[in-house]
Parts: sequence; C-alpha cells; structure tokens
Amino acid sequence: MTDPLKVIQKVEQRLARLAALQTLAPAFPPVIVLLAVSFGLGTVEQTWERWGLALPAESVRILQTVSLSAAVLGVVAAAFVAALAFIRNRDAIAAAELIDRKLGCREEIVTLATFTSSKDKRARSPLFPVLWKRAAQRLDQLDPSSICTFQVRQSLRLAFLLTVATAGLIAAAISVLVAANKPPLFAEARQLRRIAREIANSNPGDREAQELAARLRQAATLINNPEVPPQEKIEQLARVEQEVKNQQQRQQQSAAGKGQSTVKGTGKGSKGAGSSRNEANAGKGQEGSGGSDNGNGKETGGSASAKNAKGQGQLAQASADISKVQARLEAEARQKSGRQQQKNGLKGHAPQPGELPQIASLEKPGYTANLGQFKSGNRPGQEQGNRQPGQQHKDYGSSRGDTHLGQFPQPENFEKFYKAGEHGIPMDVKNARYVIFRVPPALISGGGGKTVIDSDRPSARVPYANLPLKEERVAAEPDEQQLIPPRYRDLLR
Amino acid sequence: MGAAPQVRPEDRVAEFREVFTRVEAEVGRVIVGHKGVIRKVLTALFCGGHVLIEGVPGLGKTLMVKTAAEALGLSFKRVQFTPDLMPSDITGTQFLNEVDGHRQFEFKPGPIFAHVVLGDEINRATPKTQSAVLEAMEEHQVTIFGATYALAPPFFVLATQNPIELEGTYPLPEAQMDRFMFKVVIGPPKPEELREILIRTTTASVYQPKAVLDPQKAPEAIEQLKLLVREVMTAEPVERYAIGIISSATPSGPGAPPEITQYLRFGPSPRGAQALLLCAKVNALLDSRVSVSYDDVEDAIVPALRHRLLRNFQAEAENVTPEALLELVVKKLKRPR
Repeated sequence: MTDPLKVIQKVEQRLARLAALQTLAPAFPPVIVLLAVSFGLGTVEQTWERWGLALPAESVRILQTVSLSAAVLGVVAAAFVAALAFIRNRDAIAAAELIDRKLGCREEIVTLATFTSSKDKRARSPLFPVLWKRAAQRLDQLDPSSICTFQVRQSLRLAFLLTVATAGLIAAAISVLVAANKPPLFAEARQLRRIAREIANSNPGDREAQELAARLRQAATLINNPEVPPQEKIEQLARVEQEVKNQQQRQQQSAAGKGQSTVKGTGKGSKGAGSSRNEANAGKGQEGSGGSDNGNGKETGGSASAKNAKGQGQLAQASADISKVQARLEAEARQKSGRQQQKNGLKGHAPQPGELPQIASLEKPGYTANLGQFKSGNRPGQEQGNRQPGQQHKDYGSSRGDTHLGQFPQPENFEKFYKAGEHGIPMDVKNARYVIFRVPPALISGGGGKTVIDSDRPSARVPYANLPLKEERVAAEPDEQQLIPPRYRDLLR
Repeated sequence: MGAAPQVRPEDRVAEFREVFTRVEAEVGRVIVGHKGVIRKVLTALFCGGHVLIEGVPGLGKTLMVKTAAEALGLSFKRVQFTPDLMPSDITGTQFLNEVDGHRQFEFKPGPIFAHVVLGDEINRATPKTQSAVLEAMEEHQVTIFGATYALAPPFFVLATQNPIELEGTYPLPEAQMDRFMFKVVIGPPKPEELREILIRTTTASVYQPKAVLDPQKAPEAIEQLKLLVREVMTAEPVERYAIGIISSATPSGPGAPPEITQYLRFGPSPRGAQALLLCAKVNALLDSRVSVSYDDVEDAIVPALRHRLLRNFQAEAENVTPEALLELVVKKLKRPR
C-alpha cells in the first residue's frame, strides 16, 4: 500500500521546486535583455554612429557596466527570491490541501498531514489508522506531477511585464545619454545627409553624383565621430568640398557648352535651347530646338534648367554646410589649442603685437589661404602640438592681421558685407581676436570665350550663377576699423 | 477473566453510523418530515449538548423527543413549564419520611433525573426555575439542601419555546441561551407531509418505535459513541476556518464584515466554536469519515450559532435575521486555500 506521507512529501517537494521555478522563470528574459545590452551595446552603437547618434565611450562603458551589474543583481535577487519561495512552499499542509482539492478528498489528506506534522504536537486519535488507510487508498494511484504543473501563462505574463519594463528603462537611459551627448555638429551632419539624399535622388543615373552623395554621407558620419581628431575631419571635409566644387565646375562647364550650342540653334528654338544647361538634359534641349514642336522644346528645356539650377543649389548648399562645419571645427581646434596652452603654463599670457599663435600655421608653406584646406602633413593640430610652451612666434614686420592692443574688433554691423540674400555663417564672433577672410575666387578666362573658376584659388562660400553681380555699395562709412592682412589688401581694393 | 476484545476503529465508526441512521429512521417513522431537525437533535445528543426547539404548538416537538428517547432506549421525562413551577418541581426535593419509627429526610428526584428531559415551553417558567434547569444542563448535577446529586449520563435536555404568545413569558437570557448547543426551528409541514401526518395519526394503526439500543446498555453505548465523536480529527486549516467564522461573526472580531458590526451587539462565545466543531465531527462520522471537512463545518454554522448572535435594535427593527448574517459571514469568509 502506498505510504501517504511519502506521496505528500513528493508533492510538497514538487510544489516547492515549481514555486522556485515559477519565481525564477520570469527573471530570465529581463536578465537576457540586460546581458544583451551589456555585451551588444558596442555593436549597436556602431549602427547609431552611422546615424550620428554616437554615445561617448564613457557612457557606453557606464551603460554596459550598469546593465551587467543589473543582470548579475537580477540573477542573484531572483535566486534569492526563488530560494525563499522554495522554503516557503515546503509546506506539507499546503501540499496536502492541494491533493485534497485535486482528488476531492474532503480534507482527509490535510488532516493526515496535520496529525503527522512535526509541528503539531497533538496526540494522535485512535481513529488515525482509519484515516491512514483511507488516505493510502486515495493516494494509491496518484501521480504528483499531474496535480501540480508549471503555470506557463502566469510566468509568461510576468516575464513579459518585467522584460518590457527593463527594456523601457534601458531605452530611456540610452535616450537620455544620447540626448545629453548629441554631437555638436549633429544638425550640420543631418543637413549634409539630407543634401546627399537629394543629390542621389535627383540624379539616379549619374555615377558621379551618386559617388558625391556617398562622400557627403561619409563626411556626415565623419564629423559626428568623436574619435576622429578635428584635423583629420578638416582634411576630409576639404577633400569633400573639393569634390563638390569639381562637381559644380563640371555642371557649369556643361552648362557653358550648352550655351554655345544654343547659339547655333537659336534660329530653331531659342527658348528651349537657351535654357538647357544640364549636360544630361542637353540633348533634350537640342531636341527641343531642332524639333518642329517649339512648345515641347521650351518645356523640356525649362525643366532641364530648373533641375540644373536645383542641382547647383544643392551643391552650393553642401559646400556651404561643409564650410560651416570646417569653420566650427577650426574654432574648436583653436579653443582646444588655447586651453592646451593655458594648461601648459600660458595662462594669463596677454597677446602681444605681432603675436599670432592661433594661426601659426599660416606661416607654413602648405597653407593655401584657406584654413580648411590644409595640405597633408601640415595640420594645425600638429603645428600647435610641436610648439613649445611659451614659445613666441616671429613677427615678420607686419601686424599680420593682428590688432593693436586694446583695439580688438567688435562684431558690429558686419551684415553690410553680405551679398544680397546672404545671411552668413551663424557664428558667434563676440570677442573674436582674429578675422579670417575667405576671398572669392578670381574669375579667369579659360580661353575660347569661356569663363571658369580658378580652382587653385579659394572659392566663394556663397553660391552664384554666371549672372552679373549686383552692384551694391553702401554709402556709409564703416563703423569699425579693422586691419586687413597685407597680402589681401590688393585683392580688396 | 480475559480482556475485552479490542474493537477496530472502523467498526466503531460503522456502529456509530448504524445507530444514528437507525434511530433517525425510527423517529422518521413517527415524525413526518423535519429530517433536518431530527438529525440536529440526534447530533446534539451524541455531542453531549442540549437543544432548544422553537416552533408553534402542535408540530410534534414533544413526540419527536419522546420517540428519539424510546428509540435510543433511554429514560424520558417531560416537564411542562408554567409560571408557578418551582425549581424543586424539576430537580426534586427532600421530604420527611418515617421508617421503622425513625423520621428521616429522603430525596425524591424530580423529572430532571432522566436521560432525556423535555422542558416544554421553557420560557413560561420564572427565571428562578429556568436557572435550576440550566444549572443541571451545564453541571450535569443538582444540589438540593446542600447535597449534590449527579445526573446519570447521557443527560440530554430538549427545551421548546413558543415564538408567539409572548405575553406573560420570561424569555431566556442570552447567557442561558448560550448553554444550548443548537437552536432548531421547526416550520409548518408541507401539504404532502401534512397528509402523511393525518394518515399516521388519525387511523387505527399507530406505529410504536422500537429501541435500537438495548435499554440496559444504551447509556453506556451512547457514552461510547459520544467519545467516538470527540475522537474525530480536525485538520489545522479546518480549525482555522471554524475560528474564522466565529471571529467574523463577532462585531469586534478580525475580519468581521461591516454588516456584523452594524447589526450585532455580541457575537458567538467559545461555546459556539465548540458546538460548531462537535457538530462537524458528527457530520463527518455520518459520512464514514474520521476527519472534519469544510462542508461539515458549514453545515453546522446556522444551528450552532444562530442563537448566539445578539442583535441590536437596528437589526430587529430592520428584521435582519441571524441566519441572514451568518449566511453573509460564510459568503465573505473564503476557505483557506
């Protein structure tokens, strides 16, 4: 005959194990999520970086450490709670009650458990053997596993809630960290990406345009990468900018070619031919000019013109954005350099006439009058890095753009130097000590009646078409006196 | 002289069930219907308690008790309580008797000296007389002129009271009501039952109940069965459930529903808990079990506790019955699972 106590004990142990498992199971998914975050955050972060949402390495490390700690803590806590659940559920009375419920024994098994429990010191009744026999008969065919089963639904529900809560917490933490550590050039990078997308979309068949778009995306990624030094960024940006200019030139040359062809076809369809600039669309313009339908040619040529103008605008915008980024990077580099100098013992060192530490690189042979276009091996950072603390720069006999002591230029009324429609770079020029000029490229005659932009000269930051510049002069005298570097004085005459 | 043969526990349980059901059947042959009342009366007898039966006259209360006593082979006495009834009329008295020229006091036992005593319309006697009976119920002894006389076991009092014609009556105080294990209410018979009553009582064939137990051995046998009832086991959760019911039915008790606090002045005493559990034990034995279940306890709640709930004026004014309150307690108190 079955020993009822052994059956009760089996059920009791099974109940305790199930209770522990039931407690432990919901903790696993959140722990897995935490471990995944801990070990996979680096990989994920690389993906974010492509979007410009880079987390600083320190934040990533903290997040990983916290996630790992939380996972370990969760495992320990779950194990502790599970152990508590195991101990609490090792209750013969509760097990007997469960058997009673499942078998409909009308509290006979629980009575047996009560009177055999070590906790209950009551004397056994003379009727106890009857109870034992009845319980043994009832428990003869009982399978403990059939009366206590793992509650999957309950565990799943709890696990889901805990996982969602954990994931939400992690997401919130990451969002906060990303927001707090958004790259300083995030907006510019996004703008570059947008332009790249527009260029790529507007010229789907143009391989060069696609490459340029890819370069712009790379540039956007690059400028948000905190691990790339500013000098390298400036170099890369200079290359991209050059490519943008080259693309502009190509488009302009193509437009100029169209202009010549227009002269030939004027008699046939002046409207259509005269408007076509884009090389890709030139054929259409010619078709319009040569075709019998003058209206069609006009329409196609107008569309090509609009498209070309849009493409020029995009390139100019990209160029302007890159210039902005360069300017900011340069400013940052200078600030960093200044801070470095202060750290190195130059704190409180007042600038002296003829001293131009921040643009020391101007004196180097690789400088091309554009701070954004450093030649290789001529990085400003390197220059500054090579300079010894306290070392003064040599004055070549001119002020070199420096001001006299106490006569620092004030950023007042500088808008007057803008062209019509130009708003300038949103820079904070307050307390600026040095002003860097970007001289518009000279227009030179390329021969054959073509006017091209000298690519060896600094280019204008403002998009322009081959339209006559608006003659605009401000009659008022400038309200500030600012010294121009001697080398530019001739140019600005 | 050899030792008495050891009776197996299973046989004792079976014997209890057999005696109970046979007596129940014998009473049922005389009394039409009222099966629940008969069962509760016999239950109280085997628990060692007393029963207060409430019902209008003419419902067969006296006949029921008399029949039960006859079926059990016990002595039966009936006392009609009236306002001029004296305690000595119940307990007995000493009188001066002359034997061989010597005068001496002799004790003449009253009707209380019987195994089954029926106190008919107990609320018509004065409190003094009621007290005499109630003392005997509790102590199972009477004291007359300084001499104490034990009442022979089993001593079972069954009192009746008429819920109408309350003028000139002395309602039992709550403290004395508490000494009754059960209060059983007899309702009017159903039409079919009434027809059966007419057939049985207005024809020549009158059934004479047979004694289930040998009258010579009946008291001892009943005492053995009463002992068996107390040997029935109760699990700890079931005990907690019974205690929970008592606590919930007490206005100041933990877990008491707001209605209990609102309508009751006092709840059941520990005697109520004893009655609850003993009745549950009998229920278990009648089901051939030796352990009490929750259902056994629930079945005993109303008869064991209804007369132990002391309602306040509001409850009486709103006609909130103790039965309704007990039903509420059972509904709100979940079984410990």
